[in-house]
Parts: sequence; C-alpha cells; structure tokens
Amino acid sequence: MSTESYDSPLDRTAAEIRDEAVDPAVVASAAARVWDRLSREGAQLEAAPETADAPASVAGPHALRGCDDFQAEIPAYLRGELPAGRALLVEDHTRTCLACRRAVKAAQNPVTTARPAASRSNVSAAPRSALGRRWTALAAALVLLVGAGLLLNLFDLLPGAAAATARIESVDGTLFILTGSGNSSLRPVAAGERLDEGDEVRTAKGSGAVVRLADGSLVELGERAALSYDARRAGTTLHLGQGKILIQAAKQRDGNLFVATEDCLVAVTGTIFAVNHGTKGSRVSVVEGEVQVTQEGKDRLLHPGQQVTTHASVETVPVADEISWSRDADRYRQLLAELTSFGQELDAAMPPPGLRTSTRLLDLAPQGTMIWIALPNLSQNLAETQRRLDQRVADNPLLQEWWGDTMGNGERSARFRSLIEKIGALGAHLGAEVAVAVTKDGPVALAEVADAGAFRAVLEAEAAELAAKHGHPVLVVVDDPAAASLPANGDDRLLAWVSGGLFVATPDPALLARVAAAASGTNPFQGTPFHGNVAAAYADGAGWLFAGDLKTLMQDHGKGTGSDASEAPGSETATVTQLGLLDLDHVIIDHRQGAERSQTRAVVAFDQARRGIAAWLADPAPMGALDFVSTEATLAAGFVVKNPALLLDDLISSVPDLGASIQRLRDEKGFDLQALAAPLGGEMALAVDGPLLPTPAWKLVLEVYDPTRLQAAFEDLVRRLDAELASEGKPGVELRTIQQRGRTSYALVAKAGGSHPEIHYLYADGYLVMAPSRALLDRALQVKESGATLVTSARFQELLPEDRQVNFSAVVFHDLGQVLGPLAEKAGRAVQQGTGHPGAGAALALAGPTLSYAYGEDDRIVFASNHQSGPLGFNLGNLVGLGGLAGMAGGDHGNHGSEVDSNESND
Amino acid sequence: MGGDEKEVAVSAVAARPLRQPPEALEVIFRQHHEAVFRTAYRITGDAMDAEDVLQTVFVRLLRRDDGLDPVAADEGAARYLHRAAVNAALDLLRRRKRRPAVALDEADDLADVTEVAPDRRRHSQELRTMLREALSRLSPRAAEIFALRYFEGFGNLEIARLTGASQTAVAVLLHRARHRLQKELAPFQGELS
Repeated sequence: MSTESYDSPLDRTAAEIRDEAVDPAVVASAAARVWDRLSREGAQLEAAPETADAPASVAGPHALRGCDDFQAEIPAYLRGELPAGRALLVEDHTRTCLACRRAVKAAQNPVTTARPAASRSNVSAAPRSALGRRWTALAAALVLLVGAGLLLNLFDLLPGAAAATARIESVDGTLFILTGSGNSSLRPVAAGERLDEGDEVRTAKGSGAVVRLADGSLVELGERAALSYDARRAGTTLHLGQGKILIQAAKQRDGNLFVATEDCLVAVTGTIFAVNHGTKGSRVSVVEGEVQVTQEGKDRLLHPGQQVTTHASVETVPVADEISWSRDADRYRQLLAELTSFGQELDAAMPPPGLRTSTRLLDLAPQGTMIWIALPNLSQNLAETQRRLDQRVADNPLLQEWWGDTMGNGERSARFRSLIEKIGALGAHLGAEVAVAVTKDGPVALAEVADAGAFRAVLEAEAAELAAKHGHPVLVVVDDPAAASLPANGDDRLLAWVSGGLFVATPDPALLARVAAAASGTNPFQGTPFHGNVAAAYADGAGWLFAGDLKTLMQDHGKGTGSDASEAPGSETATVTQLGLLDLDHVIIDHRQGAERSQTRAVVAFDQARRGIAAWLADPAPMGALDFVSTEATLAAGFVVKNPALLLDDLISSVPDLGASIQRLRDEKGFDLQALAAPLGGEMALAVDGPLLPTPAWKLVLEVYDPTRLQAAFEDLVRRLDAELASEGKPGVELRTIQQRGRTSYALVAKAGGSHPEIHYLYADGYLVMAPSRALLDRALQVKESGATLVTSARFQELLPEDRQVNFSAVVFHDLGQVLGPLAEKAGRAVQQGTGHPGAGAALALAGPTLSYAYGEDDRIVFASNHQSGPLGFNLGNLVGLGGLAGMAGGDHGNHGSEVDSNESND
Repeated sequence: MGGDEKEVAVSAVAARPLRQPPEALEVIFRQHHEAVFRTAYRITGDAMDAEDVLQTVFVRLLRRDDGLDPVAADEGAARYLHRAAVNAALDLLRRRKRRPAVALDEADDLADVTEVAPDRRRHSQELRTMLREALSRLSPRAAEIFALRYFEGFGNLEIARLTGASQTAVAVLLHRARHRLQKELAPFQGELS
C-alpha cells in the first residue's frame, strides 16, 4: 500500500508506523469495552431530564451549557466521581477555556494533574440475598434432621450433586458426552450430570435433551444435535456443531448469550429462539424477543416470528414449524415466570438469621467431642418456604408438573413434604441454635427447647409413626438417660431425651448419659482447649460453625491404621512430620451472613510454631506484586512465602518421589530448579488481567532479589531445554531480547514459529513481570506507574475484611465465577442464587467478585472469604455432606436469582 | 484475522438492548470503530491509549448536541471520525507528557538516550516511539497534518479539504514538520543500517 520511497529514516519509520499490525482480537475486545462504557453513558443521557434541577455535585446527567455548569462539575471531576464521558467534557472545555482552567487549578490542592479515575465504573459488591439464605436454611434444617434421626432416607429423595455450571436437565432417549482432550472419550450421560466447559454433548438419533446453563437458560436439543459451550466474562457462547436447538434464554444482565455455528453467530439478551444448523447452512428463528445474527460481517436483527438462513439453498420455513420438534418451550416460559414471582415472594418474606454470640449447648457437649457443628435454627424458614410453594403449586398446573418432574413420583414428593412439615413442627419448639457434637462413639444432636411438653408430644407422635412404619422402634423417647434399662446401641435406633429445656438425640446410650451428666453437673469437656477454642469462636458472633479437634482426630486415625505407634514410623510418617501436618491442632470454620455480604472464615491452628509445608505461607506482608495488576483484572492471586528456595528443599525432602525426579532432572538434564528459586524474593502474584480471548491475558509477577542471577539461570534453562528438544528432533525454543522504549524485555518463543504461545517477561522495580505478550507487559508497567491498580479499585476495597491485619499472606480476588475451576464450580451455583436481591450488581451475574485471603500467623493460618464458598472451595454445606441439598436449592430455585434481577432491572 | 473473536465482540456490541445509546451511534460505531482504533494505535503506539481514544471520539460524538446524520453523512462520518481520532490521539500523546506518572517514564527514556553509547543500534520500534514523541512536540496543527499525510496516507488535497486549510498551507506545514522531525530523529538515524 505504500508508495513512499524509504529514502529517509523518517519516511521509513512513518511507513513502519503506518503498516504496524494490530491484533484484531485486541481491537475487538477494546471495542466491546468501549461500547459497554458508551452504553452506560447513553443510558444516562436518555434518562436525563432536559431541565436540570438535580444538584450538579451528584454528577447529574443534565447538559453542560456554560462555564458555570462546567465549574459546578469541577469538584466532582477532581474527586474522580464524574462518569468518563462527563469528565471528558470537562477536560475538553477546560483545555479551551482559561477561566475554567483557572477554576480547576484553584480547586486543586495540592495540585495534581492525574486524570480522574472515574472512567472505570465499578459495580459494588451486592448485598447477599434471601435466596442465599434460603438454601442455607434448607441445609441448616437438614442438620437438625440429622440430629432428630428423621433423615434416614432423605438423601435418595434429592436430585444429584450441585449444579455449579451447566447441567443436563433432562434426557429423552440417549445423550452422549464427549470429554477429554480432543473429545476422545464418549459415554452416555443422564439427567442431573454436569456439563463442563469444553465438553460436548450429542443427542442420538430420535433423542432429545435439555441442558440448563448456569444462568438459568434452558437449551433444548433436538435429535443428532452437538453442543458445547464456553463461559467468558463477555458471556456464554454455545457452540452448535450440528442439529437443532431451542433456547429459552434467561435474562442476561451483563454478559451475553451467544450461539455460534460455523457460519453464523447469534447474540441474545433474553428471549426464545431456535437455531438449526446442518450441512447446507443454518436457520435461526425467533419465537420471542430479539436476537442479533452476525454472518459474514453483516448483522441482522430478528424479531418474533422472523427467520434468517445463512445460505441461499436453505429456505425459510414458518417459525412454528421450525420449533415444532420442541416438546415444551411454552411450558418453560410460563414456568419461569411463575418461579420468578415465587422467588420474589420468598425474598420479601424471609428474614436472615441473627448471629449468636454465646451458646449453652457447647457446655453440654460430651467429653470426647472432636467435631462441633452449630447452625442457626432455620426450620421455620424452611417450613414457610414449603408452605408457600405448596400454595403456588396447588394454584398452578404448570408448577404442579414442574414439582412432579423435580421430585419424581408422587410418593417421593409426599415424603419430602411430610419431612419438611416435621422439621417445621419440631423446629418450632427449638431454640435459635441446633448443634451436633461428634465423638468417636457417635454423634449427639443438641438443641434448646422452649416448650418441653409440646415438643415431647410432637416427638412421641413422630416416634409412634416411625415405629408403625418400620415395625420396630426407631425413635425412642427416654425419660431417664442414666437408667440401665436403655435399649442397646442399635444401628437404626435413635434415643431422644427432653429435659430441662434441652433436647438431646443420639444413637448411643452412653453418650446420652454423658450429656445428661453434663447438664446436671460439671462437664470435663468444658476444661479442654478445644472447648475453649470453640467458645472463643462464638465471641465474634456465629452463624454456621464447624470446629474440628484435629489433634484428637489424627491421633484416632493413627490408632486406627497401625496397632501400635512404633509400627507406623516409615517414610510416610516422616513425610507427614516433615510437612508439619502432625502439628495440626484444630480447625474452626465459621460462616456469617451479614446484611451486605457473607463471610466464611477458617482458622487452622497448630500446636506449635508452623513448620514444614504449613510454614511456607509467610506472615502477612505487603504485596507490591499486585501493583502490576489493573483495576479490571478478573482474577488475581498474591502470596508471600517464606523462602522459595527452602520451599523447594522442603518439597524435595518431604515428597521423595518428587525429590528424586527433580534430582534426576538436575543430574541428567542439568535443569536446576534451585538456581531458579534462589534469586526469588518471597512474593508473587498471578492474574488474569485483560481479554480472555484468544490468549488469556495472564500475568505472573515474582519478587526478584537477584535479577542477574535469575536471568542467567533462566537462560541456562532455556538453552538446555532447546538442546533437549533438538535431541528429540523437535523444534526448539529460544530466548529473544527485545529493546523497546528504553526497556529490555525477553521473549521465550518456539523456534518453529507459528501460533505457539510466547512468554514475554521483563524486570522492573525488583519484580519479574511475565505475560503472554509484550503489550501486556507494557500495560502492567503502565498500571504500576499510574497507581490505578486492582488493590485501589472500589470493587476490591469493598471486599476487604475489617480486622486488625494490615497485610495478607495470601489473597485471591476473582470476579469470574464460571471459569475458575473447582472453587468456582462449587461456589458458582450457590453464589449465583444468592444474587436475587434488588440491585445485585451486574458483575454478580456470573458469580460476583470474591475475595479470599489468608493470614499466616505464628501457630495458625486464617483463611477467609467474603462469599458463600469458603476458602479452598468448600462451604459448610459441602463439609457436612449437604451438597445435595444445596444443589437442590440451587436447581429448583435456580432461576430466581437471575430472573428477579432481570425483572427488577427492567422495571 | 481472528474472525471469531472479532465477531463475538462486535455482536456483543450489537446485542445491547435498545435502552442504550441512539441506534445511529451504534451503526457508526460498528462501521468505524476499527478504523478509529487503528488510527489511534498508529499515533499512540499503544492499545490502551487507542482504546481511550476510541472512547473519547465516540463519547464526543454521543454528546454532540448537533448530532451527525449517520446515514446521509456516511462518508462524512468516516472523515470526521478519522480526523477526530488523529486529534484525540495527538491530544492524548501531549497530555500524557504532562502527567507526572508518565513524565517519570519519559525521564527514564531520556536518561537512557543520553547514556546510550553511540554505537548502540536502535531498534526500529524505538525509533517509532521517538517519532511519536517528537510528533507530540509539534504544533497541534502540524502534527495533525503530518499524521494524516504519513500515517493515514491522505493526499495533500484531501488534507486541505479535511482541515479547511489551503493546499499551499498544507504543503508548507508538512515541509516544516518533516524538517523538524528529521532533526529530532537525527541523533539516531546514523545508527540504522
């Protein structure tokens, strides 16, 4: 394209600039972000009343007509509170208007020319909703049931595991799933199974299936359809390999739903539409709402009843015909509407449980208690939910059908309902807390009883019913726990005792006697350190509480595996000792449901100063590495470790197999990991910061004390790797040095070229910054220089815990629930359901920002998370084996969250 | 081209509900965002800056009271946006110099320049950066005309029409700009092979 003669360096450089290539993906992602911001601006403009009576300091969207208007905006502008577009107008104006420029200067004190940081509007952490509480309520009530012994057969009533991502809703005929690399394995799947990103499902001939996406959208597959999906920040994309699908899209808040076929892309924000993709092309039909079809760069907007085909040889057909294969699109639509309003009703009706700062129950726990689980008594919420649900189901045949589908046959449904009723009846008489103490002899359920007489009557009625059903006593209400006449410890018999405002249930008579003794006199358990630790946990207010006496648990485990201690000491014990795991003392996990956010905290305590693996995590320290992460990061993790080189030593010496292979690598290939670890400081950060496509914009930041040495070690490693690859006849790798803008960076590239991923890195401010491209490195440096980092961003700050710590030992922030692997998978569903509160942020449509963090202290590590999912990806529901119930709450009430949100936002 | 990714993004744009900015703007954005971005990238040499420029240009468009008739003025829109992109990008380059954070950055670079041994070969990328920085030191008008001529490939006549200057004025400004830029780049020219 250039006709310039490159006779001067100026012309040559200008021509180079003209011909500089920009990755289309970069352009596309920038365009998407800009449009997003423009959209917010546009919405503001539209909403703006022409006559501006709002005070300017609120950054009201009225028009700026003169210097007075602009000057009124200056304070907000300087505070960085103006929306981007408005800030821009002020900037534009002040550049050309001396008076206003002076006004800005006058208002600046101290003078700063930094641009206001308003351009990235952040969605604040949304309050937790009653939906989150509801499943909490369900699970809590379930534990009550465990205690009451009524739960014998509940688990088989429940649908499968929690649906964190997409789930197979139903299968009619045969549905296959292709998993593994290259979709190598194919197996039939059943309803209830999870469909992970990247997995492809295919319906067999004559079969159909329905997949429920994480956002609640339903995708119905016709026969011979092949479907997979990926979830990104920008939205979920369904990939239709072939066949027909009909989509009942949930309202999309921030992300979008796309359907991609090889010849077109369909974008949707909440509608019902069908895509039929075959050999000749695709046909897209709209039943309700609007969809955008992009094909060969052209966009077409379709309205209800309209249809588009991607190839002339594919003719249009009536939409009604096109979707005639679908069994029940109509039903789904009506159903969703019903469930939505039900969710709203529950949100309005259910108060959150209060926190408990003291407990009488703990003092009654029998000696030998190793695990203490305490939950708020939410049986009334549960019963109320069921009552309202029953009412709705009775009024609505569609819901009746849905309830039937969910619960299976009528008997299961009836059993479930009667269980809930019993929980309600029993729970009504119980106090605010229900607790289970687990000893090695068995569990004991404890609760306070307000009206002992009434409660006992309910209990006895229940006992009689159970006895009649099973033909022998299952629940035995005893009068005198000390009596020797108690029945022997049977495997399906539960002893219940009601006395002195206390309800105790346990299968073991000896345990019952122990608790009774504790109630009337002194309790040896009260003097134990474990008791003290748990009691202390109540001081801050307890919601859910799980405490484990790890010391005792591990001792018991040791006894169980080896007959005597001297038999065990082989390498295994040495390893465990080395890892510092024998020092574990206790763990306490508590979950608190606040009005604004929920917090889960786990304290893992050791009986001496941490050592081994437990000592890797350093004491809380500043994390400069996070300063390279921008305010828009979707995932960021920062850690401080005590000493990377020692850490590697620990690993080598404590895991012999690993140690041997590292040793072998060094001896045979010359790969010296220690040389890489030694120059490192203790601080590191990993982030996904930027577009996820085509290459996730990850960055790794490592604190480096000796860059020269690290670089030498790295160069050596690359040389050896290259030689190694060459000896295997493979294309090698090389390290290139790049000089740019006065900075040196390095690129690790494959010699074969092509599309192999590259790794770029440079050294800056005592850190090694690594990313998949030079542009990302530049951006990381800019972020650091600008000071507008993730840590300073509102969405990060709002999640910070209030405690005495200034720093973290480890911190993980993410704003991307669906793609985060196990943690998000577990958290995702529950968390997502928890966002039905009015005003729930759009960011929460995927999972909401979550901050998990850890403090390494002398003899303990404290993990915490601001979300329902606790540290390490578990939550209390899962811990006590209630994942199924959580899943049910998620599955059955699944759509409420997003639907409620959407409706309210559309109001 | 990474066609898929691009389509996704563009459709993300398209899929916005109608409560969003005027449809006219959407049409213009879809048609021209890439050209604006690329123009901005050429001048700033930085994707983030280019993104800022893209936003700036369209926010200005969005806020214009007099509006632009997108359909009638399709060609006009392209020209307007092209020029707006050039100016916004140059603005950004100039403003960047005044921002303290970046001033430090530049101080770094300048320090490097003086310390560099004369025989050190400059990477062409670095020369491009030099040129961009030098451009930001020209008068806004000269910088704009230079960018339109040498980065965007407009002819003198077109530039004259676009900027409302006479063809002679354009030629003179271009000549001066070249002279000045060549002088600024001179210290590094000899090192190029």
